[in-house]
Amino acid sequence: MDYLIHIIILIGIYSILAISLNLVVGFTGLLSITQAAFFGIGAYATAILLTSFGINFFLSIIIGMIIAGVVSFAIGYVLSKFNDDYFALGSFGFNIIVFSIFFNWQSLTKGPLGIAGIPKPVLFGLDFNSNLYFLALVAVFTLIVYLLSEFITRSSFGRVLKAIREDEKAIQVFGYNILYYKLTIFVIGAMMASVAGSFFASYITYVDPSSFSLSESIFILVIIILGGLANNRGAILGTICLIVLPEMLRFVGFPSEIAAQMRLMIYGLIMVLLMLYRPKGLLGEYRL
Amino acid sequence: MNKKNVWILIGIIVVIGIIVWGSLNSKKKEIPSNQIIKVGVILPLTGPLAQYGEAVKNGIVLAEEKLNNKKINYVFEDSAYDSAKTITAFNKLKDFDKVDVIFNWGDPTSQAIAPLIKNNPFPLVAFSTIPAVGQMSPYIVRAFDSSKDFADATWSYLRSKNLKNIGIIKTENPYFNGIVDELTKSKKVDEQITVVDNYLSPSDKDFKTSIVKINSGKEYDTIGVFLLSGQINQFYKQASVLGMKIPTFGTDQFENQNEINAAGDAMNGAVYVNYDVSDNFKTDYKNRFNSDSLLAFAGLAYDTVEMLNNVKNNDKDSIINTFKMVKNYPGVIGERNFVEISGDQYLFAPYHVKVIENGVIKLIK
Repeated sequence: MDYLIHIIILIGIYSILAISLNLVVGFTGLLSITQAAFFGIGAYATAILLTSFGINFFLSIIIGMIIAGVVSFAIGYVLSKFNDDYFALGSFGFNIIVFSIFFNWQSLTKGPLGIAGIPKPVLFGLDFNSNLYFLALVAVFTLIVYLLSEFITRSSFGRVLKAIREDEKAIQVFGYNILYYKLTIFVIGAMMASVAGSFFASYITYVDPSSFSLSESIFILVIIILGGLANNRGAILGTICLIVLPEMLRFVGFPSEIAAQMRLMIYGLIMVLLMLYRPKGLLGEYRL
Repeated sequence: MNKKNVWILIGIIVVIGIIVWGSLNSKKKEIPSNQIIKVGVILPLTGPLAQYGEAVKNGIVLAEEKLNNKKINYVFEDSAYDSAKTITAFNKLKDFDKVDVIFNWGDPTSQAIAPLIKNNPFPLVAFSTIPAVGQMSPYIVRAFDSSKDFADATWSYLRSKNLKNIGIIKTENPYFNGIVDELTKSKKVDEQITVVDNYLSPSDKDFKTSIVKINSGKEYDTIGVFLLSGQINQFYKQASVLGMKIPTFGTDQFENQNEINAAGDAMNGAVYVNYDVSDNFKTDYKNRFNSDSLLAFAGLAYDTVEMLNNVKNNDKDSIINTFKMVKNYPGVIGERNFVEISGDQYLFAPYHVKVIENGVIKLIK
């Protein structure tokens, strides 16, 4: 049972991440490869605040969001000068910078050794040490993030984001401040990713830089491309597929000598086939 | 994507799920669980440290074949050296495979699962150098020595040669970082440790800038080469071309004949600290896997399996006590003893200093 609950918790955490990135990539058309950095900022904020200062988990979420918000505002301002491939390259570079900070600022992050012993949340005496309670908490936050994202994307603000995605120049002609819209959604996406990071840190009870590398950003991007860009349900469906699929492959009876490698190959093959036959993803409305 | 296709996809996932579930249940019926000890093994079988995972797995497979104990079964899971994936594998092994004990390789991955054992006692043999892992629960025994043991053995050699000013070139890796930390902690006032360069990726193979820095800068008495397989021979070849004359020392990574052969004469005189793997084990391993890389890791795993062979039944206390009772155990990596220091529990094996001479590894007495 713990195994299934664990998988569902991971689906919840990664759904928050995927929804947050979908706002930036799917709805606004900004190819950002930096979500793992904000995910990491949230995770490290929670890890450090809980282990070194004994701050409450929920307060650490808010502080993590503020840090991610400030950092994303600064970096988003710089990135907003770029378009298309240049934006992607800039965000790529940012992810590497943040990863290097996690790796090398040893006095704060403990570098590659990571931070262990991160406690589980406690709220009004209710201890979320049990996986079932933790799952309920993650589910609530995932629902909040989903509803917030639906609200944003269905609002007039969301329609402007889609218009920017379709034709930035045209929307500028109508007097919209493009920088404001791009920056706002980038910051919102980063703050949501930070929430996912806080949950990840508290759930795994250990963080090290390897969980927030560039490959993690690419993984999140693959989730939303598979699930379907510009669709919040697609982001969740993509998460379910990419978390559950490798787990199901654990049960296929390959010989132990080649099992791990075969699983990776089959996983990769399924991804290629899906992209060949579903280039817009499972529920996508937009193609990169 | 239309609704029909979504349902087809969901259908495929459900069908595969049912097949898997069915096969699991059918397997369960064949196994009388009270007689069988199931061992879950979590290793990095993919990813940047897959070679270590393979060596440990080979050690287990070799021991399994030699001992031929039908009562002990092994289930291998890949951690990819990732903490979240390790927890997933841990839960899967406990919930679905119903294993009685888990072996886990790696410092960060052991740190990730140790708190789960703390809350819910379960035997874990952690191939980890971090004492905090062993301190987490009485049901956790580390199969590695501490980084401190390694650092003490290294300092003992360096001091015997009056080498005080040490430069280190290393790849970022928790294992190497732990050793450097311990070396730094146990240095004396007149001894110095400087990390000359850190390489972020195991795929970095160009060390010329570091070597030039070593040759032209501060005068080091010796250089610590804390690099991984594939990097070591490149470093020595480049050092030889660039005329680096400073003596070097390294880690257990040096005990790899492929590296030594690839480096040729350039590795002559390189010293390192490692377990002394028995010749019989080396031969058996070479015959079975046609490899002599990372033998110490394979040997550690081999010994651990051999110790487990003495377990009488599959309750968690019997299993963990089997390791806690290890005394003067004649392992393939030397005499093993269970040690308990400040709540940390581990299986100690003595380190030895070795030197590479003309492509051959020799023990320094």
